[in-house]
Amino acid sequence: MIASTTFRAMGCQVEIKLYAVGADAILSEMPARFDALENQLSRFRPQSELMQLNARAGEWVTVSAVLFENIHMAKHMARLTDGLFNPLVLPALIASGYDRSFEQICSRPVTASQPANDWRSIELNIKKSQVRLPANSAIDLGGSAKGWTAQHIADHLADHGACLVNIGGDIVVNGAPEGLPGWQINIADPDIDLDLAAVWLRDTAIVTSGIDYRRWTTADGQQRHHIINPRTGEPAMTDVLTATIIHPHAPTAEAYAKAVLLKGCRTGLDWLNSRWQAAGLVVQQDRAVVATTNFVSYFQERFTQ
Amino acid sequence: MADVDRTRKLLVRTALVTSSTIATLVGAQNLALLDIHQITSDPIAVAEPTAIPTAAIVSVSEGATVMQVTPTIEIVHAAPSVTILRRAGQAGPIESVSVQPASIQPPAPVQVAPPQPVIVQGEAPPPVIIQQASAPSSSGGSSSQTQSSR
Repeated sequence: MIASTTFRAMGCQVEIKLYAVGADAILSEMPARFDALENQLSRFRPQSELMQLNARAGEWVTVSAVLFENIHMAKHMARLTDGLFNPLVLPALIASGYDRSFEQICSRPVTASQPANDWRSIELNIKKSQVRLPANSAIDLGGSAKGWTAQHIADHLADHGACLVNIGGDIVVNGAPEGLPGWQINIADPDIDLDLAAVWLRDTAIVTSGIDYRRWTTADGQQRHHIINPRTGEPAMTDVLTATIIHPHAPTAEAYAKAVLLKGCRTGLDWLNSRWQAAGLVVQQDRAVVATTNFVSYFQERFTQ
Repeated sequence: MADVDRTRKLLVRTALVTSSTIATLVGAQNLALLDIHQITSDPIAVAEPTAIPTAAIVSVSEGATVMQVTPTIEIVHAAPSVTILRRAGQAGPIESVSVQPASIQPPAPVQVAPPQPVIVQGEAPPPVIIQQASAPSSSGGSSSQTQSSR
């Protein structure tokens, strides 16, 4: 028995599908669950636990297990990408004009950008579940919290049956629908209302990150987007329009997608080839499509059914 | 005086025991050397020579230069790491250029023609007709199965 639900959360559309007995009842709890997670992780809710932590930068603060796990994971993602994924990029993001939920962004002048603080300066005390952010800094989990939530929810639903969790394009699938080798995931073409390709996946995650959406024009006419290079504090200058990554761990896929965006197509894909269990597809700004060789194998899965 | 005599006797006995012990050891060593010499000089008959793997003997001398024995490993990409699925300026889905699995066809079944029936005509024995009914036919079901798997 398959059941599905869609609702809006974390600033994007959420879609969940589940093959299980009693799936409807299980899925009916999802909006409240997402709302609770947003209360902990969102930087767009002034009273969220994350914003309270940001307000006390420089102090040791005891946080919930969910927030601690997310910050711990974000540091790990920064380590994996040699700092190209940096949870301390928030001041630069705000300076760039992304100071509120994207739907509410209005044109205002851009302030001077500055490189993000070193991610290693985030201190964790795992025994006491405490975090200390460097003074005058703020953390943003926007680059990893959606992936973490998709993974977290999918792992929970996997106890009941095959499932798909899609949070604005960050997708985690567990198991496969009956009679199929996996879940068919269509990769959208950034230009036209068509799918670029379809892949068949099970027990993994696929994430697309790009500069083709969440773009805005500032009051002084500058085109901005939300992928900030932590080393410069400026929006990324890259030949990559979108990067789609397949990896068993959704937050890792998110971090890798940003790293490929910042490194550029060829350097990024070569680097991705050295990463364990990662596959990537890039749409360049000139609309060429390049993929790691192992990504192509996912196109073939359909023929195995 | 008695003490002096006793001491002298003890020294003499000790000297005798020591000298006889040394003589025994020297004699035994000489005998052993003789045996070894005899063994090495006599050829040993071996039924079949067998190759015995032996560890290489490394002669180490003082002040010798230590050589780096670990080879430098260079990883060379044997296969292309990226695949271009669509050229610049093009549009539309890339499914047409996706790699499809090569169609694998099993070898065609060997066509075994059933032997011609042997008809022996004769008076005494009745005609014997031998037919290999189970031999595969060239137009049987396996052929169509091969087609369907492409």
